[in-house]
Amino acid sequence: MIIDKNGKLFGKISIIDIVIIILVICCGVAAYLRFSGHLGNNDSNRVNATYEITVQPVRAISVDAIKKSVGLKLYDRKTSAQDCIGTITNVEQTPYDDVIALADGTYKNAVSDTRYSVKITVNCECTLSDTTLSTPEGKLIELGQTEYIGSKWFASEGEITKVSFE
Amino acid sequence: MEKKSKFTVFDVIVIILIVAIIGGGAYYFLRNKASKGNEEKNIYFTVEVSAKDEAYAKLLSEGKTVTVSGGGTAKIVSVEAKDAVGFSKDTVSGKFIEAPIPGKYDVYVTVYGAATENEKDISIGNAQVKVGAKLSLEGSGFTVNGPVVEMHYESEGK
Repeated sequence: MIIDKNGKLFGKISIIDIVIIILVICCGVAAYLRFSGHLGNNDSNRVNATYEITVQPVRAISVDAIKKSVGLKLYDRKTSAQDCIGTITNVEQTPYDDVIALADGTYKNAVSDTRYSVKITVNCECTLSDTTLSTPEGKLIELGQTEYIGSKWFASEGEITKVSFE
Repeated sequence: MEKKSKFTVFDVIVIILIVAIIGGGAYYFLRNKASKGNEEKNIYFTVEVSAKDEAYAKLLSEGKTVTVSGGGTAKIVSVEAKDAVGFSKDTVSGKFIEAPIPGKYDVYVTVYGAATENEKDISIGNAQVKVGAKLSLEGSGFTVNGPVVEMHYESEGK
């Protein structure tokens, strides 16, 4: 008999032990695939992505803190983990402008001389699949998405206004 | 008679599993807290307390010690009160305007304190000091809240 009356295979190893050994091996393989990056390479690619986050309106006094962050890592402040979502490569400021709905029902484009739009360029090694572009930690990079971001020097809310990758 | 081993293969595997789960959990929770060379730095930062009564400006004064968002302590080095100004849209002229708010003051409280710096944050106690982040300053008889509008190292000047 292959399995005896005590449930042992060839009278030596318990079937339960074998099941647990298989389970442990599966967990190990899954962990290896998850953390080695091999899992993602089956149907997706690593790409060098550049995206732009626009923060506005910002006062001149606060623009400096964002400019100080060039070369530093940017973090996702939406989650408690605060994963790194890239490195800030450039910061540009332009006068803040927006469309104002007038009392007579028309619209007018207005430009502020005391507030600024700050465009933060971020570079990140991302994972590209058929349907998503995401950071190694799984954060989706999507045009139009509102993000809560921060570096060592600033914390802010901004919108992703440009995405490109190669 | 064959002596029975105390530990079976089953026991060993269960122990490995428990260690793996604990290790995985510890890795998950601690990876973001792992600091790469925390460094002590003295910093100045300014908190904007918007549109408050004059009493706030009078209560806050230089030299007072404050607790920063329930964490570490710091010292007020300057208090500046300006007429409060609101940023709004004029729907008649179609322009952005900065309109004064009658009877209210924007109070700028500059604080000096010892901070801990790492790659991710500059913190006083548990409070992350960043331009744009809201902090509270708690002192004797007052608590004020507002965003940090400016910050710099002591080495960069007062």
